[in-house]
This record gives sequence, C-alpha cells and structure tokens, in this order.
Amino acid sequence: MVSAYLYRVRRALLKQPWKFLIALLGFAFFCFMMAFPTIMGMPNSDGTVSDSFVPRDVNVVTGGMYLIEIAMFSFMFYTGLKNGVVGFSTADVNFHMAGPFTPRFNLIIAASGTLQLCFVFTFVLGMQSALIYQATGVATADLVTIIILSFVASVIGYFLGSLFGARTSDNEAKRRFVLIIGIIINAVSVLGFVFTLFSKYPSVEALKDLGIKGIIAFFGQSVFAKAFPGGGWVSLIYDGVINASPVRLFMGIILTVALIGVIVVLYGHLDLDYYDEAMAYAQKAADLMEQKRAGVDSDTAAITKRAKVGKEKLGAGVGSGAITAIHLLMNKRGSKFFFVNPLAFMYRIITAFYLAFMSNSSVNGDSRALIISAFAMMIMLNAVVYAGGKTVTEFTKHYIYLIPEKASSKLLACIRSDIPEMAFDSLLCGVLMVFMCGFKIPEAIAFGVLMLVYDMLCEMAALLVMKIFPMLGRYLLMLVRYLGVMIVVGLASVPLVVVLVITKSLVAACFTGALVGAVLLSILIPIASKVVERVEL
Amino acid sequence: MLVVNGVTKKYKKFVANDNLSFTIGDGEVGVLLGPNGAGKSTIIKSIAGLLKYQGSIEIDKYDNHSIEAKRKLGYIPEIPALYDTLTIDEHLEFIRRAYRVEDDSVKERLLDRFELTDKCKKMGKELSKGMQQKVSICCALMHDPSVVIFDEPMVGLDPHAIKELKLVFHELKEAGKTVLISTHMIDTIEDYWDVVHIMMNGRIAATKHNAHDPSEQKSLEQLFFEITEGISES
Repeated sequence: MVSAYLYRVRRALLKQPWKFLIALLGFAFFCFMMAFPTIMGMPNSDGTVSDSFVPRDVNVVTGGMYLIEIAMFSFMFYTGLKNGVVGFSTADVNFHMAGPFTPRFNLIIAASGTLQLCFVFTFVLGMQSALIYQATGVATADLVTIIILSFVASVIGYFLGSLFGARTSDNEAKRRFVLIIGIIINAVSVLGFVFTLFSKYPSVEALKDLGIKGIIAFFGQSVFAKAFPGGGWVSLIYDGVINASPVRLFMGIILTVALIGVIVVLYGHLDLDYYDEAMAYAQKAADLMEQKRAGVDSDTAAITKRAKVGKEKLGAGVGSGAITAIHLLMNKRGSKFFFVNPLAFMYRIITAFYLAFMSNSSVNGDSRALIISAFAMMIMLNAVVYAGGKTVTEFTKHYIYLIPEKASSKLLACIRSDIPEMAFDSLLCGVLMVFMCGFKIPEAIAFGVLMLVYDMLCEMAALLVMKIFPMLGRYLLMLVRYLGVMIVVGLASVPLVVVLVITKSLVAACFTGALVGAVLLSILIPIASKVVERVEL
Repeated sequence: MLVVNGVTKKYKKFVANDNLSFTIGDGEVGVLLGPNGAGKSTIIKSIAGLLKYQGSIEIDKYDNHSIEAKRKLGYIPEIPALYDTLTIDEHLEFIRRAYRVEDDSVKERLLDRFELTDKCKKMGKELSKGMQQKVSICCALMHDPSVVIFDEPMVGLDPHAIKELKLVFHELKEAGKTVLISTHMIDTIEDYWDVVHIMMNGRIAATKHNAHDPSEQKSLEQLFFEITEGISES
C-alpha cells in the first residue's frame, strides 16, 4: 500500500523539479522572517541598544502562543470536520478506493494531502513575524517554536476533525452534534476566561490599565488556555520551557502524545464508511479542475455563497463600460453596498484590534513602531484582498479577451470598478491612522492616497504574476502571487522611507510613495494590457 | 470566412497542433472530428485568440486578435464560463452592451428559444451544467457573429436543446455564416456539415466534403475509424 503511494509521490516530484526551486526560495524567505527578531535586536556598532529593539515580554509571548495555537487548532478542526473526506481526487477514487487499500489508509492519504494547507497557514503565520515581534518582542527561538507548534496543532486539529467528519458523513445530525460539542468547548473556554478576568479586574478602568497585552498575558496564565484540548496542550510544552516549569512541560508532552495516540487508535479501529461523500467531493474537485483547465476560475468565495438576487440593477455602460457595470453589480450583490468589500472590511476590523493591542505600549516612547506595524499590516492584508480580487478573477474567464474593445480600455474598466471599494477602504485606513496612531488630517489624507495607489499596484502585480506563472498549482500560485506583490510594493516603498528619514514628514513620505507607486503603475498597466491582447488562457 | 494557416501550438515538447491549415467558407459548416487529445480544443481556443501559437488565423480577413475579428466571432467554450452571481438575464445584457448591440429584442428571442425565459432570474451558480451551456450559446449568438465556433457543444444538453442547437446550425448556414464545430461524437453531427476534418495527434489526417455523391465509397464513420483505429480496408 505504502510503496504504491510513495511511487506516485516520487513520480510527481520528479516531473516538476521547479517546484523544489520555488519551495527553496520560499523557505529561504521564511528563514529570513524567522531571523527577523534577531536582526532587529542587534545592538548598534557602539554597543548601545538598537532603536528597533523590542524588549521580550515572556508573559505576552506565552499568552500570544496559546492564542495562536488554540486558534490554529480550532480552525483546522472545524475545517476537517466540515470537509470530512476532502483531499480525494478522481484518481484516488478510481485507484485507491477501488484498489486493495483499507478505508482508513485511504483516509490518511487524503488527510495527508491537506498538509499543504497546514504548510500554507504556517507560512503565512511566519510572514507575520515582524508584526509578532513588534507586538511581543519574541526571540527567534520563540518564533521558530511557535511556528513548529502551530503546524503540529493544525495537523492534529485537521486529522481529528477529518476523522469526525468522515465518521459522521452519512448523518448530518451527528455531524452537527460534534460541531456543537466543539463550539461548547470553545465557548466554555472563552466565558470561563472572561469570568476569571472580570473577577480579578472588576472595573473598566482596571481593564484599561491592564491593556490588551496584559489581557493576552493573563490569558496565557489562565487554566482555560492551558486546558484547551489540542492547541492548549501543545502550547503547554513551550510554556513549560520558557517559564521553567517542568510540570507544564511534561503535562504538555503527555497530553499531546496521548491525543496523537488516541487519533491513531481511532483511525485504526473506527468503522469508516465515507466513500459516497468522497466520490461526491472528488467529482466537485474534478469539475473545478476542468473549469480551471478551460480557463474558468469559479468564484468560490464565501461572498458568492451569500449572494442573492435583490432589487439591484445593472448600471449604465457599454463596450468596456459593461465590464465595470457587472463588477459593480456583483459588488452590490455580495455586500449590499457596492463600495464595501466584505473581506477588506473584516481585515480592517482585525487591523483596528491589532492597533488597539499595539497602541497600549508604544515602543521606546514613540509611535514609529506602531505606524510601521499599521502600515505593514494594512499592505499585507490588502495584498490578499486585491491580489485575488474581481479584476484578477476576471482574467481567468474568456469574456474579457473576446470583447471587441481595446485591451487597455478593458483593463481600465476593471480597475475602475474596483476604485469605489479601494477608495472606501483607503478612507477607513486613514481614519484608523487618525484614531489609533494620532495622524493629523493631512497625514491621513496622504496615507489614504498612498493606500489607494498601493491597492492598484497589488492588483496589477498579482495579474502579471498570475500570467507569468500559469503552470503553478493553486496554493503555490497564491504564495508566489503574494511574494510578487510584496516585492513590487516594497520597491515603491523604498523612496517613501528615504523621504521620511530625510524630511521627517509623513505627508511628504506618503505622497512620494504614492507618486512612485503611480509611476510603477504606469509601467505595469501597459504590460498588463499586453496580457489582455496576447493571452494564454 | 475562417482561414487557419500553418498553425502550430506547442506545450513545451508536446505538439498539440502541428502546422494546421484549413478554410471554412461563408455559409459552410465545418466539423473538427477526432478522438480525445487530438488537438481540437486547442485549435478552437487558438481561433478564439485565447492561446499563443505560430501561424496565422483570419476571421473575415481580419487577424483574429484584432478588434474587428473579435466583433465578428462567437465562441462557445467546452466548459461554460458564467459569473456565479449574475443572473441569466444579466449575462445576456452584459454581452449585449459589451458588443454594443442596439436591438434589445435579440435577448428575449434567444431566451425564449432555449427555454430560459422563466429561469432568467437565476444566478450562474444555481444553474446545472446543461443550463449553463445554453446560456453560453445564447451569449455567443447575441451579437449576430459571422463566424461561430463551438467546442463540444452538445455535451450536457438535454434533447430539446440539442434539437434547437442543430436547428441553429442550419439557420446560421442559411444566413451565410461560417460555423466550426469541434466534437468527438460522430453520431451527433448527422448531415448538417459541409466539410469534416478528421484530426489525429494534432494534425488533420483526412478531410471529407459532404458532396452527397453516391460514388463515394467510404462513409464518414468508416473513414473516421480507419484513421483513428488504424484499420485499412483492403
């Protein structure tokens, strides 16, 4: 059984050696991000402490670790439970299921395929190391351990969830029961923690004094974090190490190993009958693959699932303008307001929480670290939103290539349809900077303009990356697209930093960044127009 | 008129189309017939301007990448590509406006013909594959193209839609349009074709004209299997 599977894996790897190269580059970048705290903490040449050094707060690191591991475990558990038998291809169905393999072996193979997803999440988490460092002052060793543990937590979470998903695949009521148990465990932990917190800090003033960092540190000390199945148990191991507690260390090891043991035993002994669902999933996956091969990328976002036909109507627009009109209509159908991108809005709320967390303790008495963190976070989140937005998706369908209009006009029509969303989001970013980072109005306006230009830059860079590397798989393309966007935005940000250092003026720096971004756009848009003309769909 | 001249398309070392040349005249229905992997969809996509290739393709004497050629082309892909959150009506309205079609009644006629009128408020994500295919056909015919290319158009359609589609082929032919259909199902092409190019391994292995000549000894089916299965009749 195993040798047949390994043969297949070996053949697949040999046929795509370039994937190794990209993985190697990604790994090198990942290592750099892991070393970020060490680099930032290096003393100046005269031996004094660097301005960028953030002191390590063990309690916050511990609390943050619990939060991350519990979140990763829970998320992957629910994903596994929902998907159940995700990961089967039609080839798996034809060869594995019909072949002389046991259902549990097949399930393990399918679940191991989803390790890619765990890798992606771990990679994305690793990319946030600069933010985590600014927030908690983690050391490189902390960061590496947290990343490794979060991979372990997500794998355990997924395998456990997938097992329950497969076991309950024939009975929706049973699956809902497992889901409710999971939610109860989460709810008890949250409510228990909140109750403990309010018992110790009974007034709003006391909580304000404690701050979000204090609350996170308090969470790390809470029994509800330590006792949380999976995520909490895994965290106990490193908690024991950094807080010199052999009891926690051994408890963590024992509980984690026991949980893994239980999963192994369950996989070995449960009667699994999930083939019907696996085949349905495989068919769905095959349809998606077929669509992708034909150049169609299904709009599978959650927004699409929620969309309902209402009173909204197709606005004016002929020729290329019709593209703008349908995009605006789809925006409206997805979020009620054509200028609100639900994903960007959600990210803005996350940013607000993050800034609230960071603003409680400015580094070395100034707000520069906070501004840099806010800027970096907004850019990174926007790279996700706009690098995978409607314009980029439009280029995976054939209509845009066939419509008898100039290529540049069609591309601009797409960009035009994104401007309301981008403008609203940039406005929100400006407002956040005023309230969270103390920006003055002109600075906020300049920042908003910068974000608007960068959003477009993200979109164009993503479009080009997508067309340059059409051979990459879905996950790999996502990573390369993210890296490509970061490189282009990074290029535009160099002059911004230079002007900021020289003039100390945020307005001048932001407008410089926007100007350079606009120049880059003026180069990228004609190149992207060529993509519309000479396509390889 | 559709002119394909010396088109070669390679995917790395694999040659999907090898120096293909053929012409389909006005008022003619051409069929690309061949087994899976013969290169039919590749040439159809190349004609639609969706692939890079060597050689030249002209649609009514215009290079297929030109705006004029795009205006004259209707393309029905093998896999229908609809927007998940646009209704059937909005898809057709989008195409009508994108192609600057003045006549609003075309939309109603097409919806009616393919029995989509009562479902026109359904979104793309709510449609079955067959329904999506019907919408795709309506979108391609909306702007009254002079060259229409169909990539495996019968797949997923119900009997009524197949009947309507065959009628559409006849009407397009009557109206002097150029029609190119790719298919691997020899049974579906019946008698509405003027010329069939049988494709194998990226090349045209044989061409047969529908001359209704009783002296012709080999039927299309015989010729097809002779080529694809390598059976030679002695």
